[in-house]
Formats: sequence, C-alpha cells, structure tokens
Amino acid sequence: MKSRYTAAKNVFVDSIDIDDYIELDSSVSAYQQLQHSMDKPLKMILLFGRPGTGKSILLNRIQEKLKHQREIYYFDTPAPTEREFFQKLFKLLTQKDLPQNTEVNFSALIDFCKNLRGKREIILLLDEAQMYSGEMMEKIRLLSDTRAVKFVVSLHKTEDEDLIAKEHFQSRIWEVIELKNATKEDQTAYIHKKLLKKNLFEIANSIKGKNMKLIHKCTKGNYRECNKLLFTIFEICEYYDENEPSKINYSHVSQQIIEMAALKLGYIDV
Amino acid sequence: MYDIKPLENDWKKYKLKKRKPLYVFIVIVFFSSILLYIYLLNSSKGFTIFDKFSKQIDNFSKSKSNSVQAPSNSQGSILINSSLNNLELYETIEVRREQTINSSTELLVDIPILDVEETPLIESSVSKSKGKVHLDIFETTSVTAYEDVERRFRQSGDIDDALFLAKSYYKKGDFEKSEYWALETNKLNSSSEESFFIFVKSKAKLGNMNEAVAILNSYLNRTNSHEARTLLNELKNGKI
Repeated sequence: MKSRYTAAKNVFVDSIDIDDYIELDSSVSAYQQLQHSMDKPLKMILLFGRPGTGKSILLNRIQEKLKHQREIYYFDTPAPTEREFFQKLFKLLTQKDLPQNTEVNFSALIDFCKNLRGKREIILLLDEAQMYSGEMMEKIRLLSDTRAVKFVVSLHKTEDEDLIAKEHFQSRIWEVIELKNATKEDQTAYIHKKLLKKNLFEIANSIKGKNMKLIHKCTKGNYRECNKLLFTIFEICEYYDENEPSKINYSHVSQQIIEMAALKLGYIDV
Repeated sequence: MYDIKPLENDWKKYKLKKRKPLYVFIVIVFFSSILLYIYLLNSSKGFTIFDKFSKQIDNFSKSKSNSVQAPSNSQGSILINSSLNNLELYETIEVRREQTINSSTELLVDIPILDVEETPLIESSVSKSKGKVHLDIFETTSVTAYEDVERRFRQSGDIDDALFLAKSYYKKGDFEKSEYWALETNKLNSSSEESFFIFVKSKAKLGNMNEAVAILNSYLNRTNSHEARTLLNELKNGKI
C-alpha cells in the first residue's frame, strides 16, 4: 500500500510548473508590480532576487496569464550561443524559420524592429540573465532601444555579482523589482496551501507552529530550500510509515524528523 | 531512503552536541550547590561546636571549682575568674601513678583567637582526692587577649567574635562593654536572641531596669519567646 506521505513528498518536488504556483500576499504584490511595470513605456525591467525566491515561477505565471492578451515570450534558459539566441528571436519576430545555412544580421534585425515600432509591442521574458555575456546584454539593450521589444530581465543577485551595478545596464533599466525570501507567515501559508491544493489536509494539519519555525530557520524563507526540506521530511516520514510505523506520530510531525532532514541537507551540522 | 540508520545516528550526535551547554550548565549548578551546601553546613557547625565547647568548659569549671584547692602560693593567691574559663586553658596532665584519664582530652580546647602567653598569671592545681589524676589549669586575665579579638572583629566583622566579647565581658562583670558588644552583635544579626538577652541583662546590671524591662516587653510582644518571658520574670523578681 502506498504511504500517505508519498503524495505529500511529491507536492514538494521543485518545479516551475504553473499549476504549482501558490498565491501569497508577497507573490501577488510582486505579480501586480511586474504587470504594472510592463504597462508602462519602459524598455527594460529588472527582476532580481536570490536563487529560490520565485523569479522563474513569477515569469511563467505572468506569461501564462497574459499570453492571450499580449505578444509575450518566455526564454527559460539562455541560448548556448549568440547565434542560436538571434535565430530564436528572428523566429519570434518574423514568425518564420531562418533559412538553412544563413545567420541573422544584427543590424538588419535592429532595422526590422525599428519598423515594428507602433505596430507591435513584443515582451521578452529572459530568465537566468546572469548567464548572458556582456556583449549579448549590450545587443539586448540596443534591441530594447528600438522600443518595439521590451525586455524583462530576471537574474540572481549574489554578493559577488551585481549586474545592475554595471553602467551600461544600470542606465537603461527603468524599473527594478526585487523578490525577497518569505517571512515565516508567508512560508507557513505556502506549505499549507501547497498541501491543501492536493487535498492533503491531515498532513498539512500535522505540521505545527514550532515545526514551521524550525523549517523557516533552516531554509531562511527560501522557497526552493523549503521545497527540498519538505521533500526530505516526507521522504523520512514515508520510510517510517512503511518500515517502522512505531517511530512516527501521525498527529504531528516530530522535530526529530525535521532535524534529521536538515542534517541530511546540510542545514545543520553534527 | 536507505540511509535512515546513519541519519538517526547523526541526529543523536547532533542532539548531544546541541544539549552539551545545557548539560555543562546543569553539572556546574549541581556541583556549585553541593559546595555551597557543604560550606554553609561547615560554617554553622563551626559555630555550634564553639558554643558546645564553651558550655563544656563552663560546666567543667563549675564542677571543679568546688574542689579547687587554694593555689600553691608561691605565685600568690588569685581567684579564678569564671568568665575567663572559656578564654584559655593550659592543661598539663600528669599521671602520677599508672592511670591516665582519657576523658580529660575533651577539655583540651585550643582557642586560636588568643595569643599563648609564656607566663600564666593564674595557676590552679586540681587534684583528685583519690590522688589518681593531677590536673593543672592555667588561665590568663590578659587584657591583650580581648584586644586581639576586638582587633580581629574590626577587620573581619565576624559575628562570633562580637558575641564572644559580649558574653565574656558580661561574665567578667564589665557590663558597659558587654552592652556595647551585644549591640554590635545585634547590628550584624538582629535575630540573635542570645546577644539581645545579654544587652538587656547588661542594661539591668547598669541600673537601667525600667529600660531593660521595656525593651524586653517590646521584644516579647514581637516574638512571644519563652526564654524572653523567663528572663522578664527573673528581671522583675530581681534575680538579675
């Protein structure tokens, strides 16, 4: 018989599936802010935050919501080469495949975009933009200057790497939206909503306040880390449920299991 | 999940590490409590032993004083002042015949607060009528002994020293000083009944009978002490 924890475990498999999107106060606020910025005549919008703060899922969500109203495209990962990026872009702009053995002429692409001004407004959502080279970013800037293509650039903000500090980038970004780690309350709501979405009410109810406090302490409110930790917690619960049921309390998740999961993931040390 | 057992072991280690400061704290508190308890026990015991020995010496002196013969008067005849019995005893036990009385060792009380004087001022020889034990007791009326205790009290503020002086001066008949030292003792420990009684008795001895009775009445109203009531009756009956 399948353990009741198997379903709970699978809820926290990390993905950017739009069906997994959880509406929280903070995420609703970020969503509205981004939508509002896209309505303005801005050329570039910067969406940044630490890894696991929900940037990718937010871009996915906005693309899903607006795809029938606006010309909006989502680039989940940067193209391996510049050539492939412009091929992809050419296809989006012209709705045609690039003929074989040909390359996109960047100057011609700029002219093409200039001709589109006032006729079409294309929004490109570029995820993981920290992986683009400086030269590529410069070309993206030139494209945005045509005002036919609007870019939403999402990147990690790390201690060492702060792209907005780069002069060529900073001067052209008109709006900055920062995503932050969740508060304890937000994270609690996130976990509960995720479980309730899959009708796992009893399991959601078995995670008590002190459990949430420990989970937040370990993950520092990071959604990705939270998913990893919850996955491991339910994996341990699943093991006990199937092999040593006497060691598990079904009415509440024990701190021991959370600490074991945290040890396994390296949040705490022996 | 196949690594659950090592994970459980890791968790036990982690828990132990996490609780380590708590365990250390508990051990420190435990041993500190024991040490404090031993210290308090010893300090209260010390006082009791001192009292006990003082009483023993008093009793001994009283019982023997009847059989004390006039001292051999090559050194002059000096009366033994009973108040000084607990100050200093120099004993020499001479076994004139074969028998040694071991119980006499109980009387060998060394009171370290006093300087040993080379020349005893009082010498009394106690000899049993049956002639089996000859006990010599040397006592001193040395004023320096009291001064030493007083000096030490000024430095340490030890309540036992103050009480000792109050009792000694009272026994000696120096009621002004016994009143003063009883008051000093009472300043350090207001609940010391012994010092309070010495204070009242000294007052009475100094002729302030009404004041003594009033103070004792006031004390009696507060504490309803049996000893205080007895003392009050003694005062009223003129036994003091």
